[in-house]
Amino acid sequence: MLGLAPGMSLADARAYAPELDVAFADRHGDMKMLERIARWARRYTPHVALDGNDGLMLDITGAAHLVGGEARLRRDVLDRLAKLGFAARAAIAATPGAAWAIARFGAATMRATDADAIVASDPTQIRRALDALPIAALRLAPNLVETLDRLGLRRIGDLHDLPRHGLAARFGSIINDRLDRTLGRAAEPISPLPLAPAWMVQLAFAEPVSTPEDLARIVDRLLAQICAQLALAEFGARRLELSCHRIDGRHESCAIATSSPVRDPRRLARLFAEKLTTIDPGLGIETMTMTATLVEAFSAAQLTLTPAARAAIDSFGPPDAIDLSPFIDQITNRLGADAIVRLAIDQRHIPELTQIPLPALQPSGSPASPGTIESWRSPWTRAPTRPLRLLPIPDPVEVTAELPEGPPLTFRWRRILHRVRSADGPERLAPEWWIIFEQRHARRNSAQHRPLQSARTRDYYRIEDEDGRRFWLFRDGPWSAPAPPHWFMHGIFA
Amino acid sequence: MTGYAELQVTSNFDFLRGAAHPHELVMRAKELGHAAIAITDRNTLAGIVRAHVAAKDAGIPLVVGVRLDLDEGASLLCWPQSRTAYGQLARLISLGQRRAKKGSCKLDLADALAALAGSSVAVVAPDLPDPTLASTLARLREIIGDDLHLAIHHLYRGDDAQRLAHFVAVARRSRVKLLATNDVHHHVPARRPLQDVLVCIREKCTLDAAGYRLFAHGERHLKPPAEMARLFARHPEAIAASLEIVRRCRFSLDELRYEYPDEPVPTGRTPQAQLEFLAWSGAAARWPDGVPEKVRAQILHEIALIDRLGYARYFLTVHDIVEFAKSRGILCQGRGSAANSAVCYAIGITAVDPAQMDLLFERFISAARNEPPDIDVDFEHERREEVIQYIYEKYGRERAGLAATVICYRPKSAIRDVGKALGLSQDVVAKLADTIWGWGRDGLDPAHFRAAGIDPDSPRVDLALRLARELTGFPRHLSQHVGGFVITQGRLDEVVPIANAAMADRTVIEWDKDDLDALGILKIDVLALGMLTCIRKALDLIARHGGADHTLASVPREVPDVYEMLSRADSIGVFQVESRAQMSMLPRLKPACFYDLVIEVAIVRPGPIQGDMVHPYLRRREGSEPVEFPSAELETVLGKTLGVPLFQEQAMRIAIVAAGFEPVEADRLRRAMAAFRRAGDIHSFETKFIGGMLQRGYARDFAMRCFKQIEGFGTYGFPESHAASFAHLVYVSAWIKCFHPAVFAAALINSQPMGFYAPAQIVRDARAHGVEIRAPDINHSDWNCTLEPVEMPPGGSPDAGSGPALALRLGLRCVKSFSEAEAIKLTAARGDGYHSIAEIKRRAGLSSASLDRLARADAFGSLALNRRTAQWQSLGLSNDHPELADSPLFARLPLGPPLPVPRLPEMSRGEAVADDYAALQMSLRAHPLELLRPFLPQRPVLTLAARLEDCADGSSVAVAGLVLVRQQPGSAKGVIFMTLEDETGIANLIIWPKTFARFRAAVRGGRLVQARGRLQRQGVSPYLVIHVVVQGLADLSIHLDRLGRGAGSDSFQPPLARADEVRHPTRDNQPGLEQTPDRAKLFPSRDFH
Repeated sequence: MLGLAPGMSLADARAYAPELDVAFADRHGDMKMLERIARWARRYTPHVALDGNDGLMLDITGAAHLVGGEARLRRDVLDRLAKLGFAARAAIAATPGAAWAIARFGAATMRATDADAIVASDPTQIRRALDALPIAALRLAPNLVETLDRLGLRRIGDLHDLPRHGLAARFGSIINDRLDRTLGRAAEPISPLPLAPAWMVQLAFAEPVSTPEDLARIVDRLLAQICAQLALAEFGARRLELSCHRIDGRHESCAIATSSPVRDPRRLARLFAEKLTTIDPGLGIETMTMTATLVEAFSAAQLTLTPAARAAIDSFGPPDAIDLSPFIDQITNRLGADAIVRLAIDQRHIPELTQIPLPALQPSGSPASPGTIESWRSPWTRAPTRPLRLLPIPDPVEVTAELPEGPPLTFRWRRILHRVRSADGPERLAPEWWIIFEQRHARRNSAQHRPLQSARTRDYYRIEDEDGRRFWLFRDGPWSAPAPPHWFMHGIFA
Repeated sequence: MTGYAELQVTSNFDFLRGAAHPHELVMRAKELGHAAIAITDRNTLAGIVRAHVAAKDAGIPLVVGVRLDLDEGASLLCWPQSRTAYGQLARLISLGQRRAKKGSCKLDLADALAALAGSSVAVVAPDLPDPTLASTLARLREIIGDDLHLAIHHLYRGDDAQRLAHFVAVARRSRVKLLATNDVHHHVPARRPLQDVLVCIREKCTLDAAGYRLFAHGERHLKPPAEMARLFARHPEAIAASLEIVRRCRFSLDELRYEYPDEPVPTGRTPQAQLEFLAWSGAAARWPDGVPEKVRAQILHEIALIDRLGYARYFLTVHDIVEFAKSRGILCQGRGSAANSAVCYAIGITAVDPAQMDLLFERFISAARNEPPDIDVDFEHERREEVIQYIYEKYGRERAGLAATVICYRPKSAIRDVGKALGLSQDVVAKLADTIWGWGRDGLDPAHFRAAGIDPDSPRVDLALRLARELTGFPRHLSQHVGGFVITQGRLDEVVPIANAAMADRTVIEWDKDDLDALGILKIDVLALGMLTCIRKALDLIARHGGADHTLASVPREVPDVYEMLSRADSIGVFQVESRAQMSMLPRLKPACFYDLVIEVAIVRPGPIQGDMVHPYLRRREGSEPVEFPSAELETVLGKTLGVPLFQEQAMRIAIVAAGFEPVEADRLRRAMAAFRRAGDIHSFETKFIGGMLQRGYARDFAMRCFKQIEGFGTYGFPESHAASFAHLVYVSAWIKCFHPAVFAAALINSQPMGFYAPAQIVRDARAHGVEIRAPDINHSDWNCTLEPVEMPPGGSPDAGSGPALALRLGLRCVKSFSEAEAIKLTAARGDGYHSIAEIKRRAGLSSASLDRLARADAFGSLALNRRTAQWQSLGLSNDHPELADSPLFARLPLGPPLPVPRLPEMSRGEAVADDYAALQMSLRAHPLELLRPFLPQRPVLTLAARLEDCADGSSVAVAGLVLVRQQPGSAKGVIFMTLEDETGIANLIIWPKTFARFRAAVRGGRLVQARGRLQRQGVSPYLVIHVVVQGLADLSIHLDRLGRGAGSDSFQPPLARADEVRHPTRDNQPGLEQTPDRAKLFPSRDFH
């Protein structure tokens, strides 16, 4: 008795029970699992429908005798589900509504042997089974159930004595409809949900296929079909799954992914070509299915770039705007998603941290704060403020400079003395104090391998020496420090 | 000698930008040797008074300034040179703020041009090239002339030389001077982390994602003049320009001479003459038998002092407002230190008879303090808005505005915002915030976090705690003061900018009450008090039902029955003394005269409790301890309270008499406590106070207690005069309750929400006093509760002196979700009464939803329709076509015979009670406990609440009941007080922290609980105080659901008193955080303290 109840906020629950363990709900995962159970339930009948997010509706008309009758069927379902680790309730009735009501509200529907959970088609028998159930068993909206409750109408049986027109005048036709359907006075079809994904093509073969050439040819045909479907709907595939059913009942599959929506069969075929070698045909494959598991809207206009746009990209656009995507797709599918990266600008003040690798297939725009090259150009001089490439490790230099913040007058780098003709600066960059704080902490507690950020504020200078060569130097720390600061070369301007 | 003054400074009143308090900036500038300092917050003067005060203390000139961010993108720094220029600037800011929604400002260059003559101005050099800069400068130069500057500063972006060269050229071309600034955002380099965090809070991002929104370095702090001179070595004229501006901008806030409005003074009379006239004619009316000599002397004394200090117009202004309220029949009464004034009593502002009291006029006005008096007036809470709108109308929005309240970061909000900025996950942030309990100094104690399972040593948490500590106390936004009005003779918006408040029809100035105090600007507190509404309604009801037509002043005084009633702690609903703490004090104090009530009001306050003054006083009163005075000098101070200091005045007088403080110093001490606590200040006061008392021969123990008490008083103490004003309302409300219990209950319910108890408890109490309660009914009830005559059984006689016996008819306001507008429609069309539901719908035009709500409340009794049948019928009307029903054609049609109603299942008694509670929050049929008793566990054997007084002290008892209140007062060291109600009465539980830890869920979540424990009784019947010290607690709430309903319906919710701290947490007053009421009710949402 912790005082907890469904619907409570987490903070409240923690207030009641501070030692509470919390696991987050995975609705999506639950739904996926329910769908898997639904697919599994097709062993009993092809007509399986999802019922909300926690139930299944099976139309077993004409199917029960296959497993030895309704009682056996029900017992079989419950036994097997129990073995799989699911607690379940089940009922069988002549109308979907009655079965629903009894399964969810009946007194005894947990045990596999309950006879009450099976109700024949005789309307009076249905009535008898249902009258004692709460009105919520009619699948009415909660507020309607509440209103009826206030009128003292709590069980389905309470409704029979009321005038139908009276109910209709107050609540619309819903109550009468539900009663009629549940009691079998009106028909209610079960509409099995399409469990198959929308983008799927399948080929079955009279003769099992097994040679690589045959497989490749069939993949071409499947791709042609599915691409035609996608084109019609103006979609492109981002992920495709090929699944092969072998004559021995096993099944083999492989998948490809692309960086942008694609519906060019030839390009997709090239991607599959490398994967097909992983398919073991065994004694032969009798069915092959191609499923697009991830699609994105992809209108035809995008395929043809105007010559002007193409030229614009080629001339000065960032490199990833040039259509390298077929190439990237190809090698990423070959080497793995993390193997191919592209460089992006991360908005950070520390120069060596501004470049971050992102997976090439990761959609652009996802880094938290993408910067642009523009931020490295002085708005006043239009000159770049930092070199295109940095030395991997800043190189110590010996400097003579004016105190406290003056630029170098001369400096010696790799044993060569440079005389400074002109200098800009300083550009002052302070360390990210919160990272420094964490680093200090980590060092105190344990050895961590995170690259250390210097805790000193740097002053950067752009230097031109007398030979016209340009360098990017920084002084590591201010002059006010106890020891005189060191100077470093961090890059060379092209 | 290089001189420099920093003139571009952003303080933390530029919310979420500046990272230092104004006083920190000012002190640092002084330390560094700046010639002066300016504060230039964006579009606001909110922090300027604090800077002004700090600058005066530190002895450095303050240049009043503001930064105007214009729509065009340019930013101007403006420093007015004169009072006139300042007035224009304040008006300009008001204009921009009145145009925009709360918290923002909208101005363009044209607005600025019209208002900046007479100011020194600098255009802030932009970060990026701005092609419009030259034209902006040119336009400004036409107005401002040689006082126009271009403010340049070092960005440390590597291209500063080129950037400055560009501006030098622009300045030369535009013929404006250069001004060097450092665009200061904090006073010392060490504030850079907090500055970055503020940016993240403002931008709603984390530090890791903030990127270039953060400064690349921490150079935006105050720098020494020599360093500034070095930085601008190539532009010495830019450094010198700062001194030139300081020289010209000599305007000081001290020049804002406050002038009281003239309006209330009739022509041909001086304000002083008018006040004297009103005082003497008022006194003649107050004392028809002649003004007592003591009072006459007092009035003469006050009038002379008022004349000397020139406060007459202030008194007249307040008098005018009070007269307005009286003319509208709005009850009002002065509170606070004004009650020390005989003049205030004479002219009708306060209600405490100076003849009965020892007045300390100097507490109110003192020539030595030279501070404006502070008159606070309470008005009926329902009608205060009328008074406020009267003031706006009379003086205009340019001359009247509400004072602001600066909302500051508390530990809780600080950790929430800092945690987010540091990227802590939401649940850790929530947990951190939840773990911060108190408001006080030790709000951020790492031990708390460890106890809650958060590792305060984890680097980010550690950082968050450190930064939150730093952020705590930073202003976060301005809000409106509860009722402090500033009214001026001239334009108020030329004194201080006026902005829109969050509430419609309200305008607020940018300064809070401390700022106003510091500048000697008067404010009038127009406060709302629920009890005044209740008393007015009660007095109206008494008059309407044949009683005397009383006013606050005419209620019979010193009636022993009233004191007798209060001494029995029979005080539910009585102003101020209805809380549980008060109720357990009453039988011990046994008030017998008005002054006892004054003490009663003052004693149950955190001040005296913290100072441990309560028990000594009680012991002395009971005679179990001799009344002694630590010294003869203190006998005069403490004589009235048996040697125990209970009032603020006494605490201050002790500081003066016994600790050798100057009167001004003593007042400063009180203020230091009341205002934001600066640890340093208090410590120095403490040393001086205790040292002073020891020196004069007092015991250290007594000295420490006195100091602790002053500490408590700072925030929670009552001055005697204020306690006296409140005691007056205590007496009046108690008198009504004593002699007109039905009236009292009706008025209380009609004034909800107010007070401590829910209507259910008020009704219960009225019943206990023999009042007949009648259920709400569509043919008998109005919106408000009404009184109906009771048919006397033959031989019965009405209570002597209290008119005929009256029954209380519950009003439709008790019906859940029913609106007043619908009630008015219902009563307006009622005529001789309704005969069917359809008729109500047709004649009164009530909506179906309203009819349904009435049906749920079982309000169709006079139509002989039970709750279910009525609901069935009202539902049947819902599908009508309202346009047909309302049309006159159909209205004239005779109603056909109603359709037969089907038989709906009978309702059980339990269901009826449960439904009563659901729709009315109470039941007149039965108490739920009465019905549930057979189902409750048989062991331990339960004692009825009413029988507790028969049990011996220390005996084991068990009680069960609905939970009415749970409280954990700050002064009670974690003890929880819980009140249970069963069908016979209430039981008060005390739960020690250890017990709470064991029964946490039941204490927090229980609606029906069973408690067993030991009985604690004090006093003798009928002056008994009984508590149950809980040893075990079981949550029986599940039984409540037994009462009524099946699955899927509301769970039974007893009507908690408003004071319950689980359901009505009082701590977090952030706007927008209110939860949907129903949900919050079902599941108590936060911890209480």
